Amino acid sequence: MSDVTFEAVSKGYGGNLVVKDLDFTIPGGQFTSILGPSGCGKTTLLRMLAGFMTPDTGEIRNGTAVLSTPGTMVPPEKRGMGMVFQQYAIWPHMNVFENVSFGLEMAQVPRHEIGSRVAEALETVGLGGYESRGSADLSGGQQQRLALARALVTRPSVLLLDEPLSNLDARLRERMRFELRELQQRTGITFVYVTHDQVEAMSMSDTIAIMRSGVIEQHGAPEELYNRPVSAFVIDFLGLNNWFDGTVVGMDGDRARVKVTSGATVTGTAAPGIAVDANVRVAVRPEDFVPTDRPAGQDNVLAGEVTQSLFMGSYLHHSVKVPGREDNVVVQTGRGARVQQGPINIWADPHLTHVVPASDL
Amino acid sequence: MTPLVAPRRRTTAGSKLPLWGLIAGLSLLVGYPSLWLLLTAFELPEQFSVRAFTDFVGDDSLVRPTLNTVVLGVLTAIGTVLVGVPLAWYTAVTDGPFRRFVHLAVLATYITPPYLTAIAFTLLLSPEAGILNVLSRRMGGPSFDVYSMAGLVLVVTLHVCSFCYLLVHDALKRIDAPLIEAARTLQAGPWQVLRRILLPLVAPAVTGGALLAGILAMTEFGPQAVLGTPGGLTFLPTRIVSSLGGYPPRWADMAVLALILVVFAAVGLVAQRRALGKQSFITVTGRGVRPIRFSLGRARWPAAIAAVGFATVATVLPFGVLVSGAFARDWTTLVSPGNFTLENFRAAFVEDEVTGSAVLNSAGLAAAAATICVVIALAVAYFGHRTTQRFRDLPDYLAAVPLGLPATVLAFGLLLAVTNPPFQFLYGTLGLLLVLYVVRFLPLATRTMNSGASQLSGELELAARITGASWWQATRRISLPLIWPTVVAAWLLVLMPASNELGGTVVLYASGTETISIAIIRLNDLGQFGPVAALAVAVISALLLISGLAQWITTRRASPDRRTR
Ligand SMILES: Nc1ncnc2c1ncn2[C@@H]1O[C@H](COP(=O)(O)OP(=O)(O)OP(=O)(O)O)[C@@H](O)[C@H]1O
Ligand SMILES: [Mg+2]
Repeated sequence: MSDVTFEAVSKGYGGNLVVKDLDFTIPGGQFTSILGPSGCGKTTLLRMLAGFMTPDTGEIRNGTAVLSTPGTMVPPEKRGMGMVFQQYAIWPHMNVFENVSFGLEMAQVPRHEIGSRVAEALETVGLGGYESRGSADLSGGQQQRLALARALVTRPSVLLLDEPLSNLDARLRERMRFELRELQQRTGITFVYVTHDQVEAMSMSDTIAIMRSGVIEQHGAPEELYNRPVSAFVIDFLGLNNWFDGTVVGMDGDRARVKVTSGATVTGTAAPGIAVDANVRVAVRPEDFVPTDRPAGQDNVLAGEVTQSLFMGSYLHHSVKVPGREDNVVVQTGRGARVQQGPINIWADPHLTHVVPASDL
Repeated sequence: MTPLVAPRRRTTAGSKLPLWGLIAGLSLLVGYPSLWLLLTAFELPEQFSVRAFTDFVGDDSLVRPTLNTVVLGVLTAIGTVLVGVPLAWYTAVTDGPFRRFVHLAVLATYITPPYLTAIAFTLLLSPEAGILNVLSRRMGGPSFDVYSMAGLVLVVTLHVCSFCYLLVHDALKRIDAPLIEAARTLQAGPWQVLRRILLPLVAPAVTGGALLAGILAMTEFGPQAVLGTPGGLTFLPTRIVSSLGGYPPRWADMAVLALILVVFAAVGLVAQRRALGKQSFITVTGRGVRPIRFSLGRARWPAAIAAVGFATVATVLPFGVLVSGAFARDWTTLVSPGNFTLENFRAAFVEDEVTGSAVLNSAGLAAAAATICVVIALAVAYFGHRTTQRFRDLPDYLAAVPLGLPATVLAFGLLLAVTNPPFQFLYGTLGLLLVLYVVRFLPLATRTMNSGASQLSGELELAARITGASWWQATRRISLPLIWPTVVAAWLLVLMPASNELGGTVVLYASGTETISIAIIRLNDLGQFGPVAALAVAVISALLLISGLAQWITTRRASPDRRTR
């Protein structure tokens, strides 16, 4: 499978740029998620890839074949791609069989082959035997599977999925995640999966591209994004955090020593481009703070007072009041941890403490 | 699998051409007649003069129709509120009996073309021979002169009250019961609930309905001609039409009258949109609304008698008298086995030299106009919903302009346009009537098509493209089958009024291009009420059939298993 490449692609609606000078390579044969907040341009990106829209500038290629430039377009039907839409876009006037066989008819697959190909595709998504059902009689989850079968039956090289799970209930969504992941690995098709749900992206993807108002902020494996975020935006998008403002007082390789406004000193992993005297923000995830016996004053140790502990089922959630700081620090511990109301010292590992530019969010 | 085809060069200029072609065509259709109205009012292009405007004030033959028109509009607006609101309340939120019958009867009032309603009421209430008047006199009662402002207001109100009724009915249905219950729990009595909660919630619908009724009353030529003219009352539309044969032709004065009528209609429409725009604060989800229900208690039967009585007067009586007149030897007495005859139908369809060709003309014109309107509406909806070009919504706005052009005014503008070059070849042809109908009924088609298209997600078509269908294959296999029921519904919705247009046709018809409405009015003027009733019954029956068909198609379209998700 060849890589899909965006090179300096821009797209605007009436002068309002929603994809900005984007360089982006989607690795062939892998599961890539595009993750970003609502309105950041994910659908626009996907539609340019599908050939529904022309880029204003730049070039989109599949391997070495040029798909789109502002002046030339391979029409969608000639791209060998499949797409699953957020609202499924099941054709209501056709039954299940007709929905799936449509693409084969268009490809002029011989008649005697169509029946078995449709059955095979429906089998793959767990809809075997549903051929003659009216498509409007299907449940949401079944429609979703039908949309998937319809997209897969033509054996596309690239499958585009635009938030395909967002209309399903939580349990079904979880199951479909595993099934999609498994399907991708079995077929080796390049999956491009658009979502704004970070848990979804984390659990399924080989790589994740975090998109922010028209540009890709960071693209990498899930662990890389989690452990080496380049910006406050990326950190924020991947979950709840404690933030500390401060100034860099020393650098050692990719370690930055930061004096935060409450007075404490913190050592953390610096994002690219951080230097001494830079204004920075420091992030520590609630689960990365641990109760400690180390004395206050040591690096990465905060002294405070537990004001409230909440039982959350699989973990405990504590609010810690730290002097010189307005917001409580949020700390998460396992159920077995003994944390009592009153004074406490907490510590964060420098590996798990992220230092990013302050200008960013 | 990388694509094997070479990328296709996009022709940017080519893709913009159809939209601009559509915009240009629509601008010509709606703009050119309006332009000639304006030119004529200022006596252009021969000279420039504002004489027609300054003379207006002193000329009683111009001021009087204007005042009459305003009075008719205002009284009808009031009348519709008095009739429509209680009826809507009865059918929407009470537990009274026969609500379904009343609802259908009120809606049916609009199917009968207004000139036929007016003719039916002359059979019932003309001062000398009207059946009800004769009956009343025989019992020593008074008689009512339908050829009067009061008669006109009565007839037009019965015809247009369905709009106000329907708007208020829907508004009441959308009020969620907890809104009322919340007020009740705060110790509000029924009267306070009505005054503080219900009335403010339905006020926009009432205002909107009243304004629409007023506009229709002012602009509708049929009843004004049938009831006003014999009673010596002239209105703007009838004044314009009656001047056409006169000498010297007072084109400029009539153009001014036409412009006044346009201003009335346009101001009314804008005010109506405003009023209805205020409705947005009502729960509009549709789903999850538990409608309110009032128990009428002891008022149940009196209310039912009033409601059913109205429904009868509005529908059964006029249609009944037409049926009776159609099959009776003498229209002044009700049909009975003793005076049953088919002679009226023979006289109307066989003997009369105009009717035969008029029926053909009407059918052909209506079918052609409906087809053209639907094709234009499809194009308008396509650009509005499926493209992202700039100005893609412009055709939709242009197609809505005729809403503000009353039929008589539009036809007068067209007449002025074709008595001047380069369109003189259209003068006196069926083609001219076709243009009139297309422009006049285009808003009906575009509105229907837009609502249909907005229910069709564009992704359905894109899904076909990405699975390998070309633009044409996707359109033919996906979009067209899905939009088809809407196309048929829009076609029928234009067909119905177009087969009976009168107010504009009367300006533009010529010998040989008479339509069924012209034939009926002509026979009516000749006092041949028997054949008139026969034709009316035939026309109304055909319309009922078509509307039943349209109803069936639209409900089938709206049923959940046909909807896109
Ligand atoms: N046809 C259009 N015309 C004008 N603006 C548009 C159009 N389509 C999208 N936009 C704007 O472009 C921006 C990006 O839209 P896009 O649909 O790509 O976002 P998205 O990331 O898919 O968002 P979501 O998660 O809500 O689906 C938004 O601000 C949107 O309002
Ligand atoms: Mg989107």
